[in-house]
Order: sequence, then structure tokens, then C-alpha cells
Amino acid sequence: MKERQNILTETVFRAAQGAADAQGILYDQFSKAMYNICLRMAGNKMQAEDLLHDCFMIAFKSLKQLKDANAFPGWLRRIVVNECIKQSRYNFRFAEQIEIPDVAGEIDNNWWENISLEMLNQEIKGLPDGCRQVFVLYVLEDFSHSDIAGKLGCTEGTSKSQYHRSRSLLRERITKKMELQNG
Amino acid sequence: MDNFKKDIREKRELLDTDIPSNVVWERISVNKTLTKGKTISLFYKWAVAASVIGLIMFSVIFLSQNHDNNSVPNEIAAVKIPSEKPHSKPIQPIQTPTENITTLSSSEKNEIVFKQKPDKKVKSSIEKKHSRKINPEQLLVQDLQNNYAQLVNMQVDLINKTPVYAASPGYFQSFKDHFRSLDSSEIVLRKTIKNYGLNGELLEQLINLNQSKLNVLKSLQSEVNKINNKVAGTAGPDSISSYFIDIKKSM
Repeated sequence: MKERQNILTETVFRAAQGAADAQGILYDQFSKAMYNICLRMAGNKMQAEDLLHDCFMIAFKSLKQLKDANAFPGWLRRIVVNECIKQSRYNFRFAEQIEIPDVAGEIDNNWWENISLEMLNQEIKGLPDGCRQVFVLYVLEDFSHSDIAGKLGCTEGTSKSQYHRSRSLLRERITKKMELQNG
Repeated sequence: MDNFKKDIREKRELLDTDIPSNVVWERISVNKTLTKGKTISLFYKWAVAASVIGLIMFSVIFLSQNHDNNSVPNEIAAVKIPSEKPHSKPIQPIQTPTENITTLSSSEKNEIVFKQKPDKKVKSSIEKKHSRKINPEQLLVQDLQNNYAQLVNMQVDLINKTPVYAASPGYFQSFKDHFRSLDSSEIVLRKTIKNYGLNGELLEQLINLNQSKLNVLKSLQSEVNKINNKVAGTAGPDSISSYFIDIKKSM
């Protein structure tokens, strides 16, 4: 573990000095995870790749400001999430209406337990703008609803309603797909 | 935390199934190079900006120095025009140099040095002005003195040519003494200007001195005329002996 940390520290240090090979190593190591965040937030590959490119450019440019090289993964993730949020704010605006979530029937039914992760990932990416970003931030990035409201420029109630809407849509769509697959 | 969120978060890393295309890294590599290039170009931009500022500052200093030198011929040109016709408009040459001198700075006034006596050979001095570079303020003072000298000489000639029919030559001695004292004062003043340069006070003294000389000559002329008229009223001028006053000679 220590050896891995030393390798990361050394790589980050060299990348901060502008060593292309070290930057390449960091890209290879972290681009996949970062790209998936971008893809889920943006909803399409082209925009996700643009975001990934921008995020790594920012990261390499401001790498000298990073004091603790071991914090690089979290630091890079924050850059990516912030850039995705910034992009999202350009792309859409929430209608300021609070929807009352309909979560009845979900309480006792853990419908997600038997579904494939690939299908779930596919359906998350297919969610409409707004509820997709809220879902990703709330579930995968562990933001609170108040944080999401602050970041995306909506109310906390809107964030909550969008989250429940995304859950309902996922359940509905995945259930339909599974029914079709099972015949 | 609801169960759904908890379960999904536990499997979060397993959701990362997509892989970015190689184009992304290629673009990053290219843009990194361009960014380095931008840094160099930024340095060159600053270097060019600094050079331009330096060039502008040098030009401003050079032009301001040049302007000081170039402003002198303009003043000369303004003075030369009235000096060419001193007889037709005798008042103009006096006014124009005075106005021009008031526009000059004190440092420029202090630089004035007399290199030749303005009383001697007016025409030759004017020719010399055209042929060689002389301090413009020096030219202004010379023009002023030349014009006054011409006026004084005209007045002196007029008196010298006027016959006096009455009164002894000693009657006009006070006028002559006054004129000579003014003449000697002018010589002293010229020396002072030559040694210490021209300032507003000296210029005013010079003008007043010349004006006083003209006044003395006018008074003498009017006195001569008055006496002659008195004599003409009592007896004919032919019956009385006459003489001429030489204002510059002592009795």
C-alpha cells in the first residue's frame, strides 16, 4: 500500500513538473472512472469526452497547487464533478415546482436487487436531464439535497422530487425491460 | 440513507464500465503542447509590449527635446516679418517681440547672450541672422534695439537738420545731457543683459530707456520749434543767424 502511495506521489510530482509520461500514467489510471462520471452527468459520449478532456487539462495545469499527492484521486474527482455541474447549469434549468414524490410500493419491494448493473448503468444514462444529474450527485457522489440545490441552482425540494422521479423512472423502465427479456 | 442509495453506492465502481476513446488523450497531448507554446508566446508578448513602451518613452523624450529646439525658429519667423519693414510700421516691431518674449520660458530667456552690438550696421546684422544660427531671444532683443535705434536716429537726424534761430546752444545743454545719460545707461543695460541674460525686468528697462530717449528728442524738437516760432513772429529768419544742434556732441 505504501509502495503504491509512493508510486502515486512520485507520478503526481513528475506530472506536476510537466513529464508527459507521468501524466499519461495518471490518465490511464483515472480516466475510466472520471469518464463514467462525465458520461452519467452529460448523458452522451461526445459531451462526456469533451468534459473529460477539459478536466484533465485543468488538472495537469493546476497540479502544482496540489500539496498532498496522495489526495490526487479525490482532488481529480472534485474537478470532474464541478466541471460536470458547471456544464449542467449551462444545459438546463429546473422548473421551480415541487413535485410530491410517489414512493408508495417501493418500501417493501427491493426491485433493484436482482437487476444487472449494466442495465442499471444504461438506464441511469438514459434518464432525462435534471433528474439524472440529481440522481448521480445524490446516490453516486454522495451529495446532500441542500448541496445539490446549491450547486445546480434549484431548491432542496426540487432536488428531492427529482431524485424520487429518477428512482420511479428507473424502476419503471427496468421492470419493463426485464418483462420483455423474460418474455 | 435509503437502501437503494446504500446498495448502489456499494457497487459504484462496478458501474464504471465505459471507456473513453483514444482521441481524448490525443487531444490532451496536443493541447498540452499548445499550452506550452502559449506560455512562450505570452513571454514574447510581454517582451514586445515592454519594447513598445520603451520605444514610445524614447520617442516622447526625443520629440520633447526636438520640440524645444523647433519652437525657436517659429519665434524667429514671427519676429522677422515686422523687422523687414521698420519704416512703414514703426510701432509693430516693438510690440511683436515683447509679446513673443513673454511666451518664452525663464530658462530660455536666461540663455540669451549678445554676440554683437545691435547699433552697428543694422543691415549687416540682419543678413548675419539669416546666414548663421543665433539664439532666437538674442535676435528678438537685437530686432527691438535696431528698431528703436532707427527711430532714435530718425529723430536725431530731424533735430540735426532743424536750424535754430534763437537762444544760445547752451540753452539745449540739459536735453543733450539727459540724452547722453540715457545713452550711457543703455550701454550699461546691454552689458548687464549680455552678462546675466535677459529677463522681464531688464527687457522693460530697455524699452523704457529707448522710450525715454525718444521723449527727450521729441521734447527737444518741440522746444526748438517753439523758439523758432517765437523768433519768426518778431523778426524774419533771414535777418537772424542760425546754427544746428548736434545732439551727440557736447558743447
